[in-house]
Amino acid sequence: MAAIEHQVEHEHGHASPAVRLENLKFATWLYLASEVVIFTVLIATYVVFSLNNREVVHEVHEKSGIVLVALNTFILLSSSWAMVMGLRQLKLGNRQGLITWIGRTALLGTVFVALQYVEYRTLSDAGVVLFYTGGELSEFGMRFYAPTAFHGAHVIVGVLWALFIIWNARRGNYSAENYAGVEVFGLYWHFVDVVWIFLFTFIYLI
Amino acid sequence: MTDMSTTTQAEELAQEAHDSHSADHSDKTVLFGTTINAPVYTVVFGALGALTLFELLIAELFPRNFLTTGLLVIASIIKAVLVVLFYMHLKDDNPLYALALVVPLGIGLIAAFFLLAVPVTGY
Amino acid sequence: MAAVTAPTLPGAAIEQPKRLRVSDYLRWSVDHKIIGVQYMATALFFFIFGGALAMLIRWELLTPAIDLMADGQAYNSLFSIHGTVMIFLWIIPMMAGFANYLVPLMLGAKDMAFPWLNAFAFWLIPPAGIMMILGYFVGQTEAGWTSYPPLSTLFSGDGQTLWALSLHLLGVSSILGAINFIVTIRNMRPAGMGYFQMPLFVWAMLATSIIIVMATPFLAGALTLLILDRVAGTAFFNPAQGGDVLLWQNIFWFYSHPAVYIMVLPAFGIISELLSVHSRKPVFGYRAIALSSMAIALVGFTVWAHHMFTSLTPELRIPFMITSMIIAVPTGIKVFSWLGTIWGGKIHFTSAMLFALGFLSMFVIGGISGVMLGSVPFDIHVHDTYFVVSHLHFVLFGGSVLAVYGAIYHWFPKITGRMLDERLGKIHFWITYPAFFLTFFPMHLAGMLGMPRRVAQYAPEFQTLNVFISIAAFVLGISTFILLYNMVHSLFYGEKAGANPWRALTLEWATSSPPPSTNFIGDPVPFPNPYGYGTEAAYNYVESQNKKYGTVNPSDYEPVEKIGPLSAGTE
Repeated sequence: MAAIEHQVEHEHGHASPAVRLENLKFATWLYLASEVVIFTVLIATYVVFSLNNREVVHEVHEKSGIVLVALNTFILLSSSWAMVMGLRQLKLGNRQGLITWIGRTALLGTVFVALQYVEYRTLSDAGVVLFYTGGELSEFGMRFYAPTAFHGAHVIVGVLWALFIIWNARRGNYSAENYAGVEVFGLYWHFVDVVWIFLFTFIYLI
Repeated sequence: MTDMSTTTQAEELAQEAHDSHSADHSDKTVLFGTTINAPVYTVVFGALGALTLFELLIAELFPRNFLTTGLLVIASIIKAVLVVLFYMHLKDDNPLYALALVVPLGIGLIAAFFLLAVPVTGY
Repeated sequence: MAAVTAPTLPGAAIEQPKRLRVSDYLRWSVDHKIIGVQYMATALFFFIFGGALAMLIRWELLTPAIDLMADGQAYNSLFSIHGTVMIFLWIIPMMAGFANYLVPLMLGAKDMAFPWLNAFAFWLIPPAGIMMILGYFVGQTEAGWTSYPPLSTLFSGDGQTLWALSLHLLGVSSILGAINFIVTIRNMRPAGMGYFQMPLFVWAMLATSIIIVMATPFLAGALTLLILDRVAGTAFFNPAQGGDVLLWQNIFWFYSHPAVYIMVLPAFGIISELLSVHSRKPVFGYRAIALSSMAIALVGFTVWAHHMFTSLTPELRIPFMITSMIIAVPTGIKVFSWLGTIWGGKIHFTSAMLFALGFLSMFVIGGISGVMLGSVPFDIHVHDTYFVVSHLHFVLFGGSVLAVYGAIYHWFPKITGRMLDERLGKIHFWITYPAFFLTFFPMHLAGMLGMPRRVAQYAPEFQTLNVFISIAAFVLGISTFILLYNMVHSLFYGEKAGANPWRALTLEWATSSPPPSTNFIGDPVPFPNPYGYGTEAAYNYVESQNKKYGTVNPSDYEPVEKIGPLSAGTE
């Protein structure tokens, strides 16, 4: 009976690293598929408004300026680069390199969130708020905050996830063969980056 | 059906994927015949940064019109494709994963274009 | 919760499965079979709850005045929660339950690809259900299951917020489940089982899961905006404050039209299994059935605005009318193939088969009224009348629920190791089927005469019709208890089932009933064609299986000589 129990644990719990990687990667891509949909809806909601209210968008762009958000864009791109460099180090067998690079990812992600907070403060002081206050600026506000804040929430989750990866790596849980956890986090983080690429263009530039 | 063995599809797929990632490990990148002394990821990062600068220049220097908007959209699409192909390894991975991005994007865009049309038609 | 007592298997070589107790089903478990039963038991509970609400609705409608309910708003809550519970807490989890139980078994796998995720997805459902029911009691979820603003934003009470949060949880649960299914189906098949050797139920679940992954996020997005409108003071759906009231309808139906296929595609899969097994014939047009599921999944995304013919600009009606007509084609292909499957077969009128045939007949009526509703001139006439109510119950009750009943009769022996009582099953069918028809068919008439849906007070001339409908509905409600009694009774006193009582060829029958916790002893050998009934090879395959598991099927269900190699249908 005990042997059977053990076998059950094995069968329900663990597969070989290669199979696990294959399963996890596919699942992550499918998860990203649903994220694509949700972000498309949020961005579309914004774009519809933006195309019909060019002067409001222009006014907000005047108020917010481009410097902060451009800086933020570079920060997020760098964090994505750090992420993939970390994975590369791990695949080369250098676990310490992984920890260093993912640490940079987490740090850059934190800075991104902090700067986004600063940006939100600037905007809300200028009258762009989430809830309806009776002007076109708040009509803009709700459509602007929904996608960007949803993206910001993804960055926060990503930073926590990165810290979890570091914690795991320090305990020696990853290796050049067993990198599924890092790879999956990478997919998520790069996806968040891709979303930002589109948010940046559609919301801040156009 | 006679070769039914204990392996699953995943094990076969994992076997196929095993030998694909060799390019990631190289310290050199060959770009248009020139060899650059950096990993491919860094080169992609450089391209992303350059494209972002290009976008910023267009956005700041020129007024928004059909041409500039189009250029901005195209630049952002190129950036996204670069990240997906290189950082998310879609270049070497199963093409099926591309469907996981393209199909929902297509469906999302149908919805988006429809939503775009609604205010124009008067509602 | 159902208690499953594993029968003592004859044959000493076989591992004695651990006796599962009721408490095993109340705990966290990563075994897909336990999770499947958990899904089904939970769904059945909500089915009874939603059914009770339906009875209250019919009670209220016995008279043209408001008498049972305190006011119209209370009636609004009633049908809102009835609709939402039946869709999101009964049909979808019930199908997920069957899929959880069957997909890994049918693929010959030990478990799903992500057992832990599977358990997590299930355990999101009970809190969501509690939240939904709480929403009913704390106040005025009164916008219908579609929850159009401004009714759902400016008028409903806090219950509406709970409703939205609850749907959010259910959405997350079904997305996680669907990801798990897709990965399982692609990666866990034994090598050598190609996509076109998979059972059709697995194909149906693949198509369903693809829809869930791509459509449910629309709902999540819309619900997020709705909650923001209700809680944070935004105005996404309020035109007076710069929002767009049609935005909700568009996004909601962009989810919910594909969602009707989430509810009915697994039923299609179930029916494909049942018809083939019980008429002892290969499925006619296997590839057509498999691929038409995928066609439905894709075309399903292009028809949403046919729910909005009266709120859209007229120019957009015709394109959506055309796509709505097109989506009837793959469904027609399926119906044609099912008829081809039973044509000339050796039909065994078991309870499962009766319900499958019941599905076939009722779903066709629902499909035809769907095409009628898809044509703009007719839709404008019957929009928001009982014709729509009739149509959706024909496809959801006459379609999905009858298929679920059939599936219960078919797979109960596998899940519990005991047969359901066939005599009670036939009584159940012969009460449910006419009662269902007499409940919902007259609604077509009520609708065409102009009785609006979602009203507690109606014009007195409709009373006769409504009393008739209500009485039939009460009979329908009571008939459910025959099934419940049958299930509970058979669990303890039912005839022992054996491994393969229906002599079916799909892999879930190639193990003991109930299966051991590793599903199979050794690796199962799939039969090349999962529906290759009526051949000598198939006969020998089942015989060798019976030798392995010692027991032969109960003789009065499927006498062996009847399905011998020479007498089986071979057309």
